[in-house]
Amino acid sequence: MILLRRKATSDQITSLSTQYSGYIKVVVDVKRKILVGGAERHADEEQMLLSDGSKQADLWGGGIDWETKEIDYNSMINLRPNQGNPSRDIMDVSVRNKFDAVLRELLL
Amino acid sequence: MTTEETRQLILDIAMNCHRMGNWIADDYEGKKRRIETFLSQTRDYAGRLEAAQLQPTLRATREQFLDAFERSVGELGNPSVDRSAVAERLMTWGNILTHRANLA
Repeated sequence: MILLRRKATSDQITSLSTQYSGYIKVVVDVKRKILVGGAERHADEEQMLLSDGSKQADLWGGGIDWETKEIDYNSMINLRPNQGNPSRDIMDVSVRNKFDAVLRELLL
Repeated sequence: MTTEETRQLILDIAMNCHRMGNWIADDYEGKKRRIETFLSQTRDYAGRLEAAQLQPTLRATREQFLDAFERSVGELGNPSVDRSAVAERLMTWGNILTHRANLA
C-alpha cells in the first residue's frame, strides 16, 4: 500500500499492481489530490488517508486496470446516502471527473 | 467458443460477482438462497470459461479469479468469517473481470 503525492515511479506501479496482478484498488482524496493504492481493501487505504489528515467526505474509492487502462468508480466506501451518494459507485459526475484527474496525474 | 461468446461469459461472471457481493454486504441471511443460486451459476460459467482458449494475460486472470472464487465460497460457509471482506473480494473481481473482458 503506497500513499502518492506525486507521480508514481515504474517501481511503485509494479508494487501497486502486485495485489491483484495488474489491477490497482485506489482511494483518492479529490480535494488534496493525493491517493493511496495497492491494498487488498479500500478501507485500509481510506484509513491511511484519514491518518494523513484527509476528510472522509473527500475520499472516494475505485480502481484502475493497468492491462486495459480502464478506470472504475466502485467501492464499499462510496456508499454514503447522507452525502447524496446512495450507491457503491461514485454517482456525481463532477466527483468522477476529479477522481479521474488525480489518477491521471499520479498514476497514468 | 467465439471471442464474443468468451467476452460475454466473462461479463456474465463479472455481473454475478457484483450481484453476490452487494447481497452479501447488504443482507446475507435474507439473500442466502439467491446467493447460493448465483454461486452455482457462476461455478457453471467458470467451468465453461476453463475450456475457453484465452490469451496469456486472460489465462492468468482466470486462474486467479477461480482461486479467489473458491476461497470466497469456502469462507461464506464459516460463520466466524468477516463477510464484508468476502463481499468486497467478489465486487473487486467483478470490476477486474469487467475490465479484462475486453482482452478476450
